[in-house]
Amino acid sequence: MSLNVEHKNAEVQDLAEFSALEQSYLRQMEGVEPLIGYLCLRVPPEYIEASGAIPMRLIPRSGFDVQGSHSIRTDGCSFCRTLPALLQLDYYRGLSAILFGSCCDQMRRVSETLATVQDIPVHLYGAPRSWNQPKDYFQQEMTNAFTKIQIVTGKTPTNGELNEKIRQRNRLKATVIGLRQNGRLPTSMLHQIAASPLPPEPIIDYLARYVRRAPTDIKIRLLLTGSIPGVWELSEFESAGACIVADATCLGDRVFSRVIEENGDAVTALYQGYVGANDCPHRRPNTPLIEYMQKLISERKVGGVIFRSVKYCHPWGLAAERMKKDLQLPILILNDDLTSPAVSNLRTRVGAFIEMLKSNQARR
Amino acid sequence: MKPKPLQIDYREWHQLFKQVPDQQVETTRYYRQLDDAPWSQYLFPPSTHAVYGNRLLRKLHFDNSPAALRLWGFVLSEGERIFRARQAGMKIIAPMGDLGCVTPLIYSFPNTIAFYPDCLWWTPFLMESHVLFDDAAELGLGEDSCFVRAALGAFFKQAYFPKPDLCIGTVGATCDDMAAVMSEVDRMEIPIYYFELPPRSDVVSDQTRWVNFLGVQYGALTSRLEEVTGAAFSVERFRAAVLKVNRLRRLIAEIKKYAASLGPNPMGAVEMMNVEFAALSYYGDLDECVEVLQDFKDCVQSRAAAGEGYRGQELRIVWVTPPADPLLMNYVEELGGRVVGSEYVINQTTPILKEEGDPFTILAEAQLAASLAGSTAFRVKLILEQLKSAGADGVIISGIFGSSHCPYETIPIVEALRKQNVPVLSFDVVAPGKMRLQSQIYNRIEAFMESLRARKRRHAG
Repeated sequence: MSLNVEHKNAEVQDLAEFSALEQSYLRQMEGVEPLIGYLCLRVPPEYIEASGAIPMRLIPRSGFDVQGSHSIRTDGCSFCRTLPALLQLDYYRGLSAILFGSCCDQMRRVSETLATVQDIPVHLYGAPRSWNQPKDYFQQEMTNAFTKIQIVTGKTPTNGELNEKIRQRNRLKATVIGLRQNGRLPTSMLHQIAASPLPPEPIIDYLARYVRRAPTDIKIRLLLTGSIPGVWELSEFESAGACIVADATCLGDRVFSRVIEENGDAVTALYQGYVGANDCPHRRPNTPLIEYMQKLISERKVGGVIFRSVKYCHPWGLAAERMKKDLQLPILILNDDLTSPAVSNLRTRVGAFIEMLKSNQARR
Repeated sequence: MKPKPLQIDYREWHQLFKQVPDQQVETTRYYRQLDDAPWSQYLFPPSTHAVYGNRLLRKLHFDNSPAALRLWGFVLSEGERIFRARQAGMKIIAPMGDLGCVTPLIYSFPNTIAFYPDCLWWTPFLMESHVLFDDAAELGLGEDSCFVRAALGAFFKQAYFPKPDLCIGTVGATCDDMAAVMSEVDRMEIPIYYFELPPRSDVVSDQTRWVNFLGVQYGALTSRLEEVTGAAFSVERFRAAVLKVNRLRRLIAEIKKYAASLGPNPMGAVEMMNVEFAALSYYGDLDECVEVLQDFKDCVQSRAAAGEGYRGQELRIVWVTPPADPLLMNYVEELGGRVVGSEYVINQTTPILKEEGDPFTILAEAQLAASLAGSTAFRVKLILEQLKSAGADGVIISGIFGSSHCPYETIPIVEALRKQNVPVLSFDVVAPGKMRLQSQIYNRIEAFMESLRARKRRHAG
């Protein structure tokens, strides 16, 4: 068995082990703390934890059936379209509320759809889409939304409690980024941690026991960017013979890239880190995101880019050509549909792209 | 010249135009403040504009009144007018995404005019050409985005409007497609100022904070406009602009009221849409726009008072979301319908602005009426109000495929209307040249009109 196949098998085992850890935690916490669903990188999970709840990030998961949900037309973003169906999964059944930090127009609108089709509170808070906006208004928006969550949880955190949660998350972020920089944390595990309901400590403990070495024979080092990843694409990219060493999607390295100020006014620090400095693609201009990707490319010696957007995701999908120009690397642009995956098409295109990169490398 | 109301084609207008006195052609001008502007005539028949590339005009039907001719001439000369404005040394501001909110402020600066690149979405339809869409696609905005992508093609071509002195990109609770256009415009070395419009809550206490926030945004925008125009903001000039804008908005409201009168249909739907969209940027000349609309109002009012109008258009329709292809409105009229109410996503241009008080708060408060900044429930309310006030028989929703709002709004709007027992037809406008799809829309409109007629007969016993 080659070293990389061994790595792959070990990775699958690790994911299963980590999932078991999550399941066990959720069973243990059942009835102890409410589950709060949240969307997007603008919502600080620390704030949810300090408010006495478990943060459950809403991300694509397998097993949903979009046929049952007709409230959004087929030309809506395919991630947004799956949300009503995703919430029917057992994993999300126990949510007590859902929290959105407003990003793109479709996310804003899908929050209204969910409020109509779900019988739990759905709160959206406005967040700036341009830069250098005065923080008062938007910070108040965030605080108001969390006040509504605290009505559900019955707990209002003190500044000290919030700062403690920030410290714990910062430790987790430092651990994750350290492992990523050394190539020791595969992207599949990165995604799992990014959406994990576990508090930071057990994840840090788990990662301390995590002794995977970086695969030694990686030839094709890629940056994955674009809309939120689905459940199967990553393994397709990697089984084609490449390694995603950098990930600028909203489940990737960006989740851990912002360290939050630990000792001041915690709400302001959270606002600044998660909302004010948020470099999502719908910010105008979107140059900070492009600069972040350029930094990842140089830091992790990336040789090519997979730009995968989901169908009708405007902030990502309509920026593809721009990023192709700005990133100045071989780039594969994929338009994926979470409601109707075209696995074979994707496999063929990814395979051809990686072949091309390999033959370029061989020529050099 | 006061012909009986009729809808005529461009050939008929070409003939009828011979009856328009030369003196009237000579004196119908824009930018009247300019002494030496021999180029500023705009009273031409649609055939002239068809020759210049607006090929769709050969298929449309037009109202036969001189007031409508003047309106069409004014609307279709907007592109040329903006180039002339540059030639005459005016500052040109291109707001995007807000659809009519910031323009009263822009026009309060001397020698400054505005136009909306967003409105270029009609150009591919008017020209029956894919050129702008093709250029937008080259830059990454393909068929999975709304027709406003034509604006990006136009920025790239540099032939549809002069390079603006400043773009104002409203982002936040606005459409994502236009934000994508802005992003590319930003890279074209065109100065762009981002104006933040957070989502508007339906809760009144939240709205007060929202208005205060927008007031601050308007203050900051004003500073930028001062830099660009080289003129200090003046409250007096602002009030003067507001008075004119209010006159224009009142005229539009009156025209809508007369067009929905109970007698025969006094005015065509496409002309009415042109009237409503005048409230966005006043087609680049606020003073002349007010005069054009005054003339138009007099015409519609006198027809309504005399019970004059087109024959055979008895089915009363509220139209929701403006159709990028105006031919669809002609279809409805041919099939016996008339548009008596509308929700063209520009409700923010309808409030009468306060004439006293803090200028920035005045503008911010008017934005509380914005069609798309808040919830779908708010928009449903607007549509139901139109239905009630116009006594409509049904609703037509002409959606925009790939836009960021239609996929989420359409189904709730249709459901809310059906709950009220209101017949509703919803379809997406198709890109120019897609004849087979277009004929399917025609069939659907025809079936809808037949069902409305049958329903009316049933109700009449």
